Amino acid sequence: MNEQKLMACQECDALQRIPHVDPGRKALCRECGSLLYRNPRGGMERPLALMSGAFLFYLLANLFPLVTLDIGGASRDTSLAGTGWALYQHDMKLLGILVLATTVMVPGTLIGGTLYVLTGLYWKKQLPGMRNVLLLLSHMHPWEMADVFVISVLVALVKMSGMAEVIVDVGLYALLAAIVLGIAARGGMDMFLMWELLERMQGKPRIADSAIDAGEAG
Amino acid sequence: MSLPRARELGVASCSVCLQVARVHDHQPVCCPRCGSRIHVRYPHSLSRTWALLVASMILYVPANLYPVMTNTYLGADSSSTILGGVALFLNEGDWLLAGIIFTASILVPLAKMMSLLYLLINVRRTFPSYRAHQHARLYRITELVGRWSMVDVFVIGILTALVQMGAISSVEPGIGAQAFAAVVVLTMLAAISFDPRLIWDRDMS
Repeated sequence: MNEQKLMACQECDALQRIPHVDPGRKALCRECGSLLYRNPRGGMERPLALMSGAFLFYLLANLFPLVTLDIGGASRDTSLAGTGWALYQHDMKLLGILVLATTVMVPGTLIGGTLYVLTGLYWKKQLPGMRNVLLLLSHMHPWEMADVFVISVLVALVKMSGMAEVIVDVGLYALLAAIVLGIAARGGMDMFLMWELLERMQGKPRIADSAIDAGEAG
Repeated sequence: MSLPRARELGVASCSVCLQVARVHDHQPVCCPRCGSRIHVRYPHSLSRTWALLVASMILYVPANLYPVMTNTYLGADSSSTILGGVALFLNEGDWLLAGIIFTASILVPLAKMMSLLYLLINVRRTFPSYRAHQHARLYRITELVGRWSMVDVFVIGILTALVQMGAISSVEPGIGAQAFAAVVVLTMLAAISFDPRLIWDRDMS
């Protein structure tokens, strides 16, 4: 494996060789300073552990109600999926689907899919469809809004606190834990590194960097 | 620029897995590693971004004019727009919440549309290279903050799910919420369609 990776910056297109990056350090583009590559400390072990935790808490967040509202003895609670579903039922079908997608389906797929790929990479075992799952994850990232949703729950709680008694339930704590663990796990991963590990594992022939060297002037 | 640019050397990096591969003009190339289509520059990046941005600006009007929700309290209806929601928090003296909603629902969408407009107008003009650095940073921030505009939409969803106590108190989502969510999605798509490498393609003075 060539230690000097050839990379073109995604933001400014500057072509450059990345020297060996020590664990826990990152390489920035020499032209525009954006992040090129990270070599997280602790390999796949740490993100795998954190993502497993995120997965369990995310399951709990979906099984238990998030908040309960109590007005004069009449109480009502909502789950994570209940928010999008409520919009859907109140004649806002498209909006409901958007909310369900960004708060339930995308975050769920991201956590589950990342855990799946990490599992395969950690035990160096080829799982079916790993490549396609990793592809899917790369495209989904901007549409993951569970963290925005938690802030929204807090805003809604304060808004309702004036007119009724609001009780924070297990689901909200679980969701918060899942988000924090998910962010920590993602901080210990690098997509480029994951693609590289996957490629090395599958042993796919790849275009040698040397084929490109011929054209590299500077 | 001191470093060679990938395009000048006939190579491009895959936008998904960052693999660098050789590309040929006017010929579609698939990434040898992940199989995604590799583009030297996103196809029709500027016209797509323009189209999505103009669509979001048009929808921004109904998003602010129509009520985002209607609250029935003891039989009396009251509808509120996005701006009305901020005013309500201010009247109750909730400065923090008014600030959050104002930032997420008014400041961020407006700033996002303005900065995309600015980038689109200026992307073909000649600038000193430090301006390219500024434009690149502006784009990075624009791409990062967009999703936080969804706060208001989610709040309306949560209230709709919880506050359903019949005549005592109930909340119905308004058509403005749908328009506002469309604005958020369209501006996000516009930011994704914009190819930041175009910022560095112009002549630097």
